[in-house]
Amino acid sequence: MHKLLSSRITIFWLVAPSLLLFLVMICLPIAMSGYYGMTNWRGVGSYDFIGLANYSKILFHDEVFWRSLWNALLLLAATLLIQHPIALLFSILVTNAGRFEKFFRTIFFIPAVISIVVTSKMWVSVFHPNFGMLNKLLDGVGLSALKQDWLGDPKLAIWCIIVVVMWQGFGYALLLYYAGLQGIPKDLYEAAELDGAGRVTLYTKVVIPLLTPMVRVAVVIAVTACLKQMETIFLMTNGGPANTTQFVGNYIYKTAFSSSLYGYGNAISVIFVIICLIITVIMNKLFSKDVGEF
Amino acid sequence: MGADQGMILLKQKKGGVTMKRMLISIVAMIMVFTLAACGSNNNNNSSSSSSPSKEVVSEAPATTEAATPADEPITLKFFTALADRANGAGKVEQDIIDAYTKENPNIKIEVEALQDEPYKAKIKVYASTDAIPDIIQSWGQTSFIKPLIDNNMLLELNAGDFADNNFVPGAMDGFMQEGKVYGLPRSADFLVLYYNKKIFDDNSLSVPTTLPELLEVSKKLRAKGINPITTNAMEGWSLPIWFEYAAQRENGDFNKIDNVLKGQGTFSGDADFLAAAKDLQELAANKALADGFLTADYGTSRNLFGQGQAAMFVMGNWEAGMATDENFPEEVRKNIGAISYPTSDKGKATDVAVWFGGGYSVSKNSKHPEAAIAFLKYFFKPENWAKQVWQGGAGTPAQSFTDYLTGQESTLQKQLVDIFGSITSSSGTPMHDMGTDEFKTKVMEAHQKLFGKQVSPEDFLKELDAAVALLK
Repeated sequence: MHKLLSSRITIFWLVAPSLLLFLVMICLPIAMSGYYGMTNWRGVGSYDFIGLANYSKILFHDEVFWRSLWNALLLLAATLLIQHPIALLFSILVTNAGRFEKFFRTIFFIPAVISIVVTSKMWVSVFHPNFGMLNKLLDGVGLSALKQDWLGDPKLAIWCIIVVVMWQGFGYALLLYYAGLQGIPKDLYEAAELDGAGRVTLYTKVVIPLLTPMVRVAVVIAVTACLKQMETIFLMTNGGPANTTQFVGNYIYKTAFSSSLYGYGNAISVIFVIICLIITVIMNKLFSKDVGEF
Repeated sequence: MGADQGMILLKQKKGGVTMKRMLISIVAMIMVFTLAACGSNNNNNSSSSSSPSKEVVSEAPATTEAATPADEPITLKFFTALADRANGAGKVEQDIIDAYTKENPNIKIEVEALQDEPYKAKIKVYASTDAIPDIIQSWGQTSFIKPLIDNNMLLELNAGDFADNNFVPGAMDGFMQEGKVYGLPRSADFLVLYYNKKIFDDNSLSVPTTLPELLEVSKKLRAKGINPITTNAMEGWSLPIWFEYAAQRENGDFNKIDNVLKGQGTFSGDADFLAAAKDLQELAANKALADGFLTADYGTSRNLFGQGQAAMFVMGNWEAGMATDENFPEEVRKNIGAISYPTSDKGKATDVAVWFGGGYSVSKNSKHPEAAIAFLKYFFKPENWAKQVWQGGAGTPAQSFTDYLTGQESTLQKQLVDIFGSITSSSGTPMHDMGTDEFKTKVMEAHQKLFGKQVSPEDFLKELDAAVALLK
């Protein structure tokens, strides 16, 4: 058996299926996208080869594309700076909630379990200017002046979307940090207490640094989720009003399937893949530092 | 000698090993490919069963007596954008299909139904793989039908075959290219202003008949905390048709927009177009449009009106069924009325934005073109589609239907048929449908920005011109 497994040919054929799938399902489509991106294909019928015209148009003249990318970064920043610290805080609270631990753990994870379609449509109703709960609530507490057309106002809409996406992803972030906390040995807490560390010092100097591996995982997940964001946007505003809440995924869909610019849509997706690769490389560089064993 | 023998043996042994290796390799390769093939098959199955499209197979119970041996079983694929098979036009369509398959047991019609936008996306997938279903819903509008005709995907129909079906004159125009007919229109569509009479009565207002009245009434309704007008601005296609009305009411001629699209003149610099854009933006500036209208999709805007939360609804005549929709409270249902768009001194109520909407085409690749055409002939028999869709309150057929007026129609239906019967000039195909899909998106986005007050009327016209430039 060992002899068989050490044979290069055996190894090759064992790896081959997944390698083949990877090539056929990922590399080939990207290469084909790259090719179609150089055409003016409209989805039906013949097309011409137009070189890099689509690519240069996206990079230098397409405001919506950059706006979409900017929105993704905005969402990422909000996720990392607002959602994650809160999730970390709550996971610490949940861990120390004693007999309510299970209860809170379930409550906080519920949004992540419900279908995105349901939660998105629910938030659309909450934000509805006439029968939405938010405006009714503001009316109820006498703050009618603060009532807004939440998703219809170009300045506000993106922030409403960000709140919703953070809310939807909160459960997962919490779960990750919660799992990370479970993995930290109890004796470290005792050791810190014996050394006279207070609660704050315990968490800031001992627990949170030890959570770094989990933070990495959470950040990677957050980055991919923010860049890939599509379904919530599609369901809530479809990028409107006037593309102010557009995200790249939805923009590609809209370009290819609503405007029938398949060539152009393919070009956007190729550029997007490249941007994602660059971000991945940067993240790997940032995370290459090791935390050490415990 | 011995050495030679040894060499030969060695070679044989070597050969044997290579053979064995090759065999293993081939077996492994075959396994990989069959596995991959199985995988993809499974994928196909699961994706088709989990896809949101509704597949309804109509099959009459096979009665052996009825089916003569000469009738070979034929399966027709029928792809439609009437996704709701239990209500309105979709139900009428399905009823006719069911009746047809019952009469012709050898014919089986597989229905696939999707909503408009997913439908249009999927038809492109079918087109790019050369697998257009036998009968498809088509629109007699450049943006939809021209690429299909140009790429030789639709079957030319013989207009003479359908001479008995009483199509309204001009109804087939949109489906024609170079004198050849590629589709049959199903319905005549026109944009009207629905109003909720109860809201007007309760606030002692009268339904607006002129543009200044529309603005005035909207201001008064808004002052009382009522949403004046709603429409589905999120999808956006009602807005360009609304603009056609606004422009006609300023310049008295629906054809001027068509002329600009043909390259005669521009939008910007034309005082009438500018006035029309200003009229619309003034409505928006005075909050004549419902709160959140820019993110209201079709269902939301329809609901807002149907639940009595908005006084008026800019929408097509196909919503005649609102008057009988049990989902709406009775006080709203009973009080819905419709008028043509408010008038000015140049545009009258009989100048209506009317066009021929959806219809059917037959695929050029169909294996059974005769069967498909035979079905369409049956479908468009006056007593089938025209009668049933009218009496079901599901729209206005593109065929003469005066024989089928029952006198039982709702007040709303009567108002709509009055508007339709009195038309003196019509807009024809909506402007956004007169070009490519890219043009359509740009035109609709420009309108969304105009109504959302994100561009000035002047810039709006420039954006329209930029969109028109894409057509050249």
